[in-house]
Amino acid sequence: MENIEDIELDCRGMKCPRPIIELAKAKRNASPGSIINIIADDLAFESDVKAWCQTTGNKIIDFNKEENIVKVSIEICEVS
Amino acid sequence: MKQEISSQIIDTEKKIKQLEIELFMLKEKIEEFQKQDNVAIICFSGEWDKLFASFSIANGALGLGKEVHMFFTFWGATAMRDKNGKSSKRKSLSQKALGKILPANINATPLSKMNFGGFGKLLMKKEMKKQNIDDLQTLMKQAHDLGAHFHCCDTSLQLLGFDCDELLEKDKTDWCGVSSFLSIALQSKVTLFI
Repeated sequence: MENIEDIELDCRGMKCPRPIIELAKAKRNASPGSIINIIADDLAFESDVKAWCQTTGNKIIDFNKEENIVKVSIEICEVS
Repeated sequence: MKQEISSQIIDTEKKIKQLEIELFMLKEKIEEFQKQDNVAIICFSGEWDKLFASFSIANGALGLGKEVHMFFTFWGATAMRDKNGKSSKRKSLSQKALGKILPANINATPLSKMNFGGFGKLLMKKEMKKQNIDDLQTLMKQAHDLGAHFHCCDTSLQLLGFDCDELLEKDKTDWCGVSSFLSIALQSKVTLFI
């Protein structure tokens, strides 16, 4: 039985490449189908998270940006 | 007539089979090539800002799930130096002098620009702390924890007079020459010289 869960990550205050590292670490322990909700305020995060999803084959299911704060929900599509 | 046609059919079938084998081999080669997407970074500079860039890129690549290989050569080898490491080897006078002059560890490396005898670096480190940017040692440790492979140039170490007992992560660092690093770089899609 796989453990599908929601993972919350608060990366506010972290600078590049730290939010992506945290995201990659969280993905390592996540089963396919899990959702990672990540929030960050680094200016590079918006483009970085899109590139990360494209490269690693995961899916952005929700994207929200208010001023500099970016909230993204990512569905994990494959096992690392 | 019939015999001719049937022999032609057999010939064609043989050719198709051969083509199928060749296609299969090509597909395997393409798959193998697609798998080769490592990132190789040659750390030549022993300067704090350039090492910072190297380790930032290494961390980013590891975050993307890529295999990262870092090759420390010449001045870059000082990045791997352990402040508390003691050498048991006999050194020449010039090696002893180099050991004293060169930075004691990665934290002691100077900025490539605006170092101002260490004052510029002090200001930069202070600003980085204020902005919550990871410092160089954290980035190095993180890269190591995430599985980056460290390779140290054997010749550079001998030239600078560093003993393996004087280096960080000595059990996990690979001692290699140009050829063994190049064989890794050849399997990489990205190779950077910093």
